[in-house]
Amino acid sequence: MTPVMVVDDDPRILLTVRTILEAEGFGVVTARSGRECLEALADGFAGLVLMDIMMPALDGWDTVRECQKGGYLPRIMIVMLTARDVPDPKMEGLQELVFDYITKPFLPDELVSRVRKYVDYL
Amino acid sequence: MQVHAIPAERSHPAPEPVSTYRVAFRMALTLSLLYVDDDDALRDLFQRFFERSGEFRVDTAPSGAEALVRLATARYDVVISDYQMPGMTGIELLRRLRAEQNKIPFIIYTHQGMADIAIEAINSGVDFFVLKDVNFPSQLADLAQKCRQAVRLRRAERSLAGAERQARIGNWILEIDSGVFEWSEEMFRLFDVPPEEEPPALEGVLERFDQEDQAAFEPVRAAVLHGQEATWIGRIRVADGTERFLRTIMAPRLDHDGTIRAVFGTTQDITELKIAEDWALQYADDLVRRNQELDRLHEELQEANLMLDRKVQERTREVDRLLRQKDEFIVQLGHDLRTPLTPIMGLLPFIRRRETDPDLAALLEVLIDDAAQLKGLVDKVLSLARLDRMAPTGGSDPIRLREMIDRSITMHRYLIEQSGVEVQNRVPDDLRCISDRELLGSIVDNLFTNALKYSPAGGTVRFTARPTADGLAIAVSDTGAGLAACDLERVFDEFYTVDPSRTRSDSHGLGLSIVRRLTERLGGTVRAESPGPGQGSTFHVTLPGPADTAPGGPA
Repeated sequence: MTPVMVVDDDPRILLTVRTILEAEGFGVVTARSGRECLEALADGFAGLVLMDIMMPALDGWDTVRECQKGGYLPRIMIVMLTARDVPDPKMEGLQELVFDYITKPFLPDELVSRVRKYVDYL
Repeated sequence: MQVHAIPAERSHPAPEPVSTYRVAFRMALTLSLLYVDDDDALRDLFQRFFERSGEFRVDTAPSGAEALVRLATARYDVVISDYQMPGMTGIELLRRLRAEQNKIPFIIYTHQGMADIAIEAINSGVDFFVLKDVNFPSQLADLAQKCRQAVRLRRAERSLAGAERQARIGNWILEIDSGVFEWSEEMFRLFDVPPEEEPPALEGVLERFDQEDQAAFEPVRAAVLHGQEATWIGRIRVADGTERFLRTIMAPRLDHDGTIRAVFGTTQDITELKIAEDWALQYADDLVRRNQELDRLHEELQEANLMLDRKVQERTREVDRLLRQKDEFIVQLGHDLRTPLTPIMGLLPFIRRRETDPDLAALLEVLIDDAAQLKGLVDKVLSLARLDRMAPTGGSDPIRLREMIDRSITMHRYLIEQSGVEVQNRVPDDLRCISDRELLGSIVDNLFTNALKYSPAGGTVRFTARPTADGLAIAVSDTGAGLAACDLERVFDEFYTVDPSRTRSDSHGLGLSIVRRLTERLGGTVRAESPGPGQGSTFHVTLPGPADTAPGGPA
């Protein structure tokens, strides 16, 4: 099954997403920062990336830009995980690069059904 | 003396000439005449002759002494007196009168033709000196004429004095050779000199003036002595201590050979004029000063305004800074509230599914419901908090409303699938509007989730929109619960829900109140419309601002 990478600086989020998705049989990789995410991509990760926006240092949008620069976009699908409900000025010009948004908090069923759908596209 | 016939002109009465005669020669008012003569016959004759025409009223006195008594008790216009009378001569009578400042016209009528008597009479102030003639009728006519002349002269003098008095203007003559200074009555008043005194000599008069004015007089005196007319203004101080401004106009009288004989002058009290002039000057000065003061105040005001402007700008910047800080705080707060909710909401149902103990499972259900409630509250409360600061930006980019609604549909894809509701976006593809993107997005989103929430499975939520004369009209209709007429307005109140028993865990009665506050923020309105409970409802939003369906968007 298509692997899923969760990128978030908050270990509780990583734990939550990993727990829900692994129970459904997804292979889950976690990254504690944008940097770790890019490292995993450099190591050849391909699949769905659930990306938190508000992270220290390299935030979600910075990481999306780096993914584009690194040429990783063809082998991944990015869905933004966001706890913000106002548009972020930083998303300008990067929106087209991401497939969808999942707002935190979410119900496990919602997360699972969405991830299933994304994976179907891949 | 013989009785003579009446004068010839009086013997041929002619109606018209009488009128002419009276206007031409007769004096206004009857002249009252005192005739003094020791000759009884002559007195009688005189009286009868003069009273014939009605122009004169005649009293007679046989002596100077009796004349004085009559003059003291009655008013006369003219005195005609014989010279040689026992007890008192006519000239002595004249002198007595003049000594008492009595200026009554006085004619000496005498047989004495000696030059020294005539000269004495003139020096005593006589008006006419007439020798008694044998041709009596023409003599009396001549006397009557002289009476008229003398009275006219006195009246003219009185008029002049009155005019001078009125104008506070005196006239004078200065004879150069003799130094004789002749003043009119008003001159005495102007210089505060008693009228019975002789006028002071020129130098004495000049000394009365202010030192400065005296100095200024010297070039004026030189000009006049060179034959020019000149005007000079000087100040004197009078008895009551006040200052009096006198303007003097001088005209030299030249001889045929060009030497100066005399100077004719008028002197006028122009104190009031001067005061008015000074006052006007003072007033003009004051005005200038006041204008300067006003200018200064105006400048100060401008400076104060500038300072105020600066302060207001500083304050505004400070307020803006604080508002931005608050906004950042709210965004951060939202993030910080939702992040810990994520494991709770995400993991509780997961745990619940694995829990086989029905009691524990029931407890977990409670926690799950509470978590959902908490999430909804966090969302709405944060929206409300943001509303209070969100000033519409009236963005300049045309908004494609259809796209905006599509995005909202995408965001709620999961909720739509769960509820089994069909969503129709009927907004024209080419509809563009200018508005605040964030606020408008929030309006659309809240109306949408509200419609979803109250629509049963298999229901429909439909978006429509059209440009209006002065803005945009958006409608969101559903086939859901509908509203009773009494709820159409209350549904926008905060924390109001139509049916408390049906309150869902994710409904807080805030969504529609947020919509109303947002539309009001944008200067628009929102209203609900429903045929009744169970028959669906439509929410109409109207917003001002340019909206158009032209492909290029609103201008």
